[in-house]
Amino acid sequence: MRRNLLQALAVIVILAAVHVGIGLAPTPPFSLGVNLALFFTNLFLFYAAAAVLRRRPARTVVLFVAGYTVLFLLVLAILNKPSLFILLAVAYAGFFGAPVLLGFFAIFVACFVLFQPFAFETIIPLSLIYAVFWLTRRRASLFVRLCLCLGLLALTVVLFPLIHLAMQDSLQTLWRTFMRGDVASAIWLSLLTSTLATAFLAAWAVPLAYALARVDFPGKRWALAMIDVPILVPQSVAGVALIVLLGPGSVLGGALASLGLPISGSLFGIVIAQVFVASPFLVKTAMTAFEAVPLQYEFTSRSLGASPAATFARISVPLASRGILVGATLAWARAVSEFGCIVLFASSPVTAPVLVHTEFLRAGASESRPIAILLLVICLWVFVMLQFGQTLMPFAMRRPGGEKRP
Amino acid sequence: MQPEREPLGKIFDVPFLSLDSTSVEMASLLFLFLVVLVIGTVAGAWPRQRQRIRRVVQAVSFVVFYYIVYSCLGVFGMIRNGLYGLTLVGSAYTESFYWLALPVLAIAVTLLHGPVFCGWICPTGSLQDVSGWLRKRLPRRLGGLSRLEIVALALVCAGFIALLIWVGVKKKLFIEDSSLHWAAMLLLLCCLVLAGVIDDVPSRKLRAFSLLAIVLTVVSHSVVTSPMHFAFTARDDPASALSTLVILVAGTLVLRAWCRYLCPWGHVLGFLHRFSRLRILPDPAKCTRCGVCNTSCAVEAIDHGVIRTEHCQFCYACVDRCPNAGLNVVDVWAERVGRGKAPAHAEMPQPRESPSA
Repeated sequence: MRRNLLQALAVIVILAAVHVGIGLAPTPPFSLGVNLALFFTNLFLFYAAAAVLRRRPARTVVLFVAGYTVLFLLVLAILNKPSLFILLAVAYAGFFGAPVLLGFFAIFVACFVLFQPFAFETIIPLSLIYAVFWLTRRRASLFVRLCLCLGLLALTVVLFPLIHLAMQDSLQTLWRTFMRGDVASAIWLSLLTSTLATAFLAAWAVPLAYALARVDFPGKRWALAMIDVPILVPQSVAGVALIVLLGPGSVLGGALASLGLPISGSLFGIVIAQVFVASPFLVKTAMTAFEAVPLQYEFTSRSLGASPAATFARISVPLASRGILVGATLAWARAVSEFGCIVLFASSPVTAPVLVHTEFLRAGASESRPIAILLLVICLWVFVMLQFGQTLMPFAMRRPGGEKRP
Repeated sequence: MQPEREPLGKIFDVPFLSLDSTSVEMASLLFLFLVVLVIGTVAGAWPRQRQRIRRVVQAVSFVVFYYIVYSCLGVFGMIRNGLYGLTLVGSAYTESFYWLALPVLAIAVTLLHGPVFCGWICPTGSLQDVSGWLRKRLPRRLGGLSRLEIVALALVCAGFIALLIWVGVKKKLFIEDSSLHWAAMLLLLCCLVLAGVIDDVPSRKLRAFSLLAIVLTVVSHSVVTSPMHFAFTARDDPASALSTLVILVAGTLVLRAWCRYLCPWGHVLGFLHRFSRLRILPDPAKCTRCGVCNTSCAVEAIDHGVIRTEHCQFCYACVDRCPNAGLNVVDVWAERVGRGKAPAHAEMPQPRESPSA
């Protein structure tokens, strides 16, 4: 007890001597208040170290000192910000004993000191990735975890422009932008037309996918390749093609307009363009889903007297519903994000991507930014909700790993 | 809006120890360091005097918070400005230090020593301890009152709530005054808990909602003041003064009612207590299940030696009052290493088995 007290007193005296020495230097680097605060910070660190490092191996002590040295060099010697150093050193003392939190603290220091203008954009993905790395520690080998987390890191770098964009405007700005009449109507229009396009697409693409999954015929490979053509064709080419066929001067466009269905300048034109670009996603995904439905179930249904159409409607579609929903989600997302084809073929009424473009041309990036963020957030929210909705759908079959839930 | 003036009774407008000749006060930080060292060393050395030392520390920190700590601005203000200070790291170092010093120190101390900030330092907590002291001089149970007195008490409470709601509604959409909503809710909660309509323990989850509300207001760049705010600011804040009064009244109904039901900062520190070094653990061999610890705890965070870490305020009252010395303050981090286990956090919430790939 007395020995501990003597040791503590010795450390306090040494610390005080160091700080008095700093204070008495010809040109003291710190003012009196800062120097005193630094002295107390070091005292606090000493107290924390005495508490935390008791009965710990030498490795831990070295780690503690190394962390302190890194902070000292980084913040005090290079940045020369004693106030930040006090904050970080105090937090470091607290976080040291808990390895999970120490990792988060290291990420915090890296993001807020090194990656400075992008502190918030970096700390959110990095701490999420670190949490994933920590939570998978008993489920996978280190190699798999490293693959996972480094891959996620690379993905973060790829998506970084979007993360950075989402951090740019305050909620007030976004709300005020959304309350602007043209922005709100453009976003609603985008959501409405892409939903209509997806519904229209589902009406013929799901039976087509079922047929393609169930029957072989000569030239099937060509048919499958044809489905992918809209992915291949540049959007401007698609726009020009649609104008040539259905535009104001064309035969078909004029005929439809005389029937009271004007293509250009109406909602109908937007839906057509969106169906064109979105169709491959639904067909391909639904086909894979139907291929996974075991034929035995369909045979059983037929043997019990159901017609082929009833079997399709009551056995195959429910069992493939998860895959169909994935495809519909992808098609919906593609339809919302469609820009090139629509701006050529149906630029009015204005959808949200077109509005971002025109605002950018009119007033520059700072004006179109809040609209872009709104579109990003709303679409992302719907997309995430749809992805979540898939988990509510029934499964097609038991996968090799074995599904636990019905 | 009042013209700028000094906060109530705050007589020092020049810092004792400035940070590089700015108006940022270093003395408050030094004092907090001293308090932590006192709690860590002196209180451990004299366990018999510990509760007396705690009262002294509470009184001194109350005075110091009142006179020196400008950067606190109440519980909500501390959270709001702490988050604001985070955005300033890298651009305005001095200002970020001004806002972050107190929250960072509180978090670090909580990790090292348990949430002593709640039990030993927090001025709002000290204030509630005063009303808790008053409570012991008031009739303990409603049964001790006559029927007329009960009706009168109910009328007073109802009138108070009505007044609060009226004042709150009159200033609708004036979000600065929303501490009144918190106050009305607190009083309502106390009455409902005392009447047995809702249970005490589940109601404490409201602290998380309180925290969520504050974080949402921060994200949307609006300002919500809390009780005690009026003592720290240069502006007139009658709503905050009134809600502080409500906290005092609520403290006479339920001990430390604000800490129990609504304090967002208490939720943060309670969460961090899960990871903290020190923890109060019972010695099953010595526990006679006498229940003294249950009655000694102001926030009812202990049940026959079993502590709910998210509510414990580390005031040591149960440790000091246990007749058989059956409660120990244990260094969990050292224990974990001593057992030879990897310092993986066993008490970290394990995620559920993922239902599907």
